[in-house]
Amino acid sequence: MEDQPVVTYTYTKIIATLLLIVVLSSIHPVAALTEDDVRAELATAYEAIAKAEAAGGSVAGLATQLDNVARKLPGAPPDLLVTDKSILDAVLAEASSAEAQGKQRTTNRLIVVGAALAVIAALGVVVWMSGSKWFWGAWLRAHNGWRVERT
Amino acid sequence: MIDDDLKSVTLIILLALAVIAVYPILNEGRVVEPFSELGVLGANGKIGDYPRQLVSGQNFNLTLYVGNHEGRVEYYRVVAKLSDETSNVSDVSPLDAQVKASWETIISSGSNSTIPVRLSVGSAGLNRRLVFELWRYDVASHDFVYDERWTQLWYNVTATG
Repeated sequence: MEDQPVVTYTYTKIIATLLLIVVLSSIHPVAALTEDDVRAELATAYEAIAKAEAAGGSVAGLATQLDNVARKLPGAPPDLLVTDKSILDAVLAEASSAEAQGKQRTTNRLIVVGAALAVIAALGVVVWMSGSKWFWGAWLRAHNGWRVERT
Repeated sequence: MIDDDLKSVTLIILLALAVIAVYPILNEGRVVEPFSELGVLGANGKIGDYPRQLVSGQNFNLTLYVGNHEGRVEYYRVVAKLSDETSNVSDVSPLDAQVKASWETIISSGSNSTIPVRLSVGSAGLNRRLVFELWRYDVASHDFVYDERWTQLWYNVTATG
């Protein structure tokens, strides 16, 4: 029973230290964020959406978000820089999913192209092997009153 | 003989069908002649109504127009440089002059962007020009490169009265 106040004091110190770490870690990036930092991240985000678009992804909406950041960046106040950074982080996250969707769309397109070519090739083989028989059979049915003489 | 002709005609029709089916899918979004646009518009966003007689230190407004027909999203930087009649502006290399201001925009393929700008010029003189150059972010070099597009505005500057 006599040890309890010491234990409580230790817990209080640990919690206070943890809180201090959390507060400092959340304040530090805000204080250090500069226009150049945001500009560098803007370039990184642009590279990400360019890659996603090259993979077949749809990035028009992401490009608009980046454009809004790029236009307001020169001389932006610190609070706007923080907002810009959070927009860029979100765009970076969405760019990877746009890239994945683009790759899937490209694969689907190739499957459609392959299937179309396979069907046309199969038709070609069938025509080559049985086309004449079908054609003359149809011709004879259409002209059933005619007398045909094989020469 | 007729059989062979029939086979040939049918195969040609099938080949044409294959090309018609596949070509649009493979060429989706492809731009045959990619290019970018740069233009300077008046303060009201239309061609004309450009300021020609400026007063030193006094602000004036313009609108920049950038168009993207490159077939992909582009990150552009428009750079304004002050110059005069003695300097040569080239389609190949950027003007060797101090950068007065710059603006950035990111444009999707097939879209354009207008940027309202506010500028002022310094010392008085005749036949001065404001050169606008278009730079484009190059993913390979991670830097902006001169896009070989530029435009200019001629003006005279009078000292503040």
